[in-house]
Amino acid sequence: MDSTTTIAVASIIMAGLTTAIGSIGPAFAEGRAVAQALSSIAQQPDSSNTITRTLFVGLAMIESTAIYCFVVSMILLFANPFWNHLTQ
Amino acid sequence: MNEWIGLTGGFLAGAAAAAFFVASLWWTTVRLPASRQPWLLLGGSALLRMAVVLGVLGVLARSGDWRILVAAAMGFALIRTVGVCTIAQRDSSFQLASAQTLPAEKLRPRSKP
Repeated sequence: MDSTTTIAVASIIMAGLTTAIGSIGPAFAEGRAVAQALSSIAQQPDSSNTITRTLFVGLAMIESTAIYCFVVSMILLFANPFWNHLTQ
Repeated sequence: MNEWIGLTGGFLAGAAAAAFFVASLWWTTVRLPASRQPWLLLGGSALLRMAVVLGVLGVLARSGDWRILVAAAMGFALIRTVGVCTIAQRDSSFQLASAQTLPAEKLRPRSKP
């Protein structure tokens, strides 16, 4: 197996792992955050303003983590910098 | 020159995707407590949000230049941070949807004397 094939195989495997691990963690975290927030709002409706604001900040942080993992996997699949290094 | 145009375009595309992301997330979060089916609202909104953002990043990835994707991620991170801080620090004058449809008395039944 030459070096080009090795880089291709490693890139595809790592892109899959990046998307898998980078999406399952935020999925669990987001489900837990929303469930806790809705439970808290049901128990303390007067604090729903603060809880909603905190939930929004948390969801934005959690989901952007998954998006960054997607960017990394896209770089590995479609814009791999090692290809240019190898072909030049 | 073309290189800088590509990087700037990627940055702006990432920033626009982040603006849509933050705005739709805020819209969803505010309406979540009053929704009769919160899982449907959250799931549908997440599907639409992710389709738009990942579609933009996927189109940028087809250009084949990894620096454009990095610029888009930087634009996304910048606008996301600024948008979240701006919305989170706004005054508390906005009305939650739950305040209009589900008053506190209905959520907390009074205890019998």
